Amino acid sequence: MALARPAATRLLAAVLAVCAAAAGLWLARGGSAPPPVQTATLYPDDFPPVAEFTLYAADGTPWNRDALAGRWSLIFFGFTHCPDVCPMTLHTLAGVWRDLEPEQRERLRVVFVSVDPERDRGARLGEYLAYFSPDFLGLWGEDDALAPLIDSLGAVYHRETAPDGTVTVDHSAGLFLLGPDTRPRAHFAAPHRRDALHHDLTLLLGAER
Amino acid sequence: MSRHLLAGLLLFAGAVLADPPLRFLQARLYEAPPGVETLAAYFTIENPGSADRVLRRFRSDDFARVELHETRLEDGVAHMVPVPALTVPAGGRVALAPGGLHLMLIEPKRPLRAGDHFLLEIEEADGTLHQLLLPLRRREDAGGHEHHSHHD
Repeated sequence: MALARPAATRLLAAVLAVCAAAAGLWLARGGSAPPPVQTATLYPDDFPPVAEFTLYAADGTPWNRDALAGRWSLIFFGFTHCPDVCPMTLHTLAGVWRDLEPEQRERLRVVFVSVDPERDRGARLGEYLAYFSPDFLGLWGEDDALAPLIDSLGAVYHRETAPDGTVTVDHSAGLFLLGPDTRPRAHFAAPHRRDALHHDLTLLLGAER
Repeated sequence: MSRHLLAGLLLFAGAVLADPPLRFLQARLYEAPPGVETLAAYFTIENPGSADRVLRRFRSDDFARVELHETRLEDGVAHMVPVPALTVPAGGRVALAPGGLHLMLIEPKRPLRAGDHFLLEIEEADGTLHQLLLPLRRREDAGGHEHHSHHD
């Protein structure tokens, strides 16, 4: 008992010292905890990297999982004939892209994955994306080729051809952020806001250097 | 009977004529990226009158087809749902806006250049015809406020 008290006191002092140090750090960082994400939903830390896949860029270059590695990837699934959600989202992404610092852009890649291979294969996809930003990467592939990436992220799409030949495509409207190791880090649910996306991307890219 | 019907129709027409017309605001047609044959038009409709009004037909000489659709987000998935008729409630307004109600203009018949205007005809269920001039524009930079939820 005689020993316990000083020991407890020392422990308390140590705890307080740690707290003080933490508080000092906290104050040194500007007096507030790191701001929380505004729009992202974070994947758990043990979520596996996306499955192996092979898709094609507009110029025919194959892109697989390893090609995507090394940079962060912000992925959006859509199709070029989509009149409302896709141009709206790509327009917002073009704005976010301009808002990012050059150093952030070097670490990130915006990827538009077409889920309408019949109409979006090849050069057409490149011309479409260049309208929004020459930096955006477009990928396309047949349904079998799309499946590993779609399934790894929990994304969905559904194509339907009406009797009059009109093709409608329902698709996930969210954005998926992969880290440089291709492990999913965050999902951004639609509707997308340029300022919130910029905020969260800055936060997430800044947290892992 | 035909006499009563005629009187009724005249009364009805009188009521409609007495009602102030619909107002179409903030009309714009967004330029499509290269290779895309489907454009989206947006506008807001105000009904200052005392009766609901129903828009049921959209057409343009400059496009093969014009259709009203609504983007609906269900469990994070975007669906396009055709809207056969649009009710603008008495004293209310309906906004066509990105991510919600939008007019699809399909297969342009003449070249589309930003700054050009395209004539859209909108017919009400009672036959009232509206002509709306849509300026073709690039999507503007809207900062963080690109999305507007539509309300009625």
